Amino acid sequence: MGCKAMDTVTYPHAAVQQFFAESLEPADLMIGDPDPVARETLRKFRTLWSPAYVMLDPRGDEVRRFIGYQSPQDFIAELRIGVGKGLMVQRKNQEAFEHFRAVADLEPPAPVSAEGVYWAGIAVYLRDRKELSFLEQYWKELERRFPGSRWWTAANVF
Amino acid sequence: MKGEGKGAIMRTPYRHSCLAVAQEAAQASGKAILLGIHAPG
Repeated sequence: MGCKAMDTVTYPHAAVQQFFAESLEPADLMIGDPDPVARETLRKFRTLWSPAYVMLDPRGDEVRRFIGYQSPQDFIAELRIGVGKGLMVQRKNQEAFEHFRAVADLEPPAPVSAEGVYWAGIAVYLRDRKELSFLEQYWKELERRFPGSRWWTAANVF
Repeated sequence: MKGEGKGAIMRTPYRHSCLAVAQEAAQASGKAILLGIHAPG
């Protein structure tokens, strides 16, 4: 069901197509593919359900994983978080920040917008080698906009 | 194409033929890799 909905609703969306062209190197696997290479890849990235999406940095290290049908807007938001994390691994913190901030600023917010605020703060912190106190403004934004979110809880220790 | 099975209508746009090819492209472009795992049908 989820795979078909991705095929018919999300993938054909122009914004999704554009995001793929600009920001990703995609590949697909079909569960049950008899090809030995595909079977080995499926074993490596074992998943409990589909559609599943595994995002890897250019070195091939996993940076994000998510599952299930996503609307075009939510799918791009998820992808932006993964792309941003892949850029952070390469120390491209400004580019990463721009992806995170775009997710954080979505109106209405996406399910991952709180996570976007969290990572946006960390990307700027790493970019500018700020004091830890710099992050307070981002944690306050989480408190104001996403109180009770998992990302507010993650930031609340500071 | 690897990964394209019975019943597939349309899979990830601009896709590479397999993960190894996507990884090679990612090393050149610096882009992230998206591996989509789908059920047939």
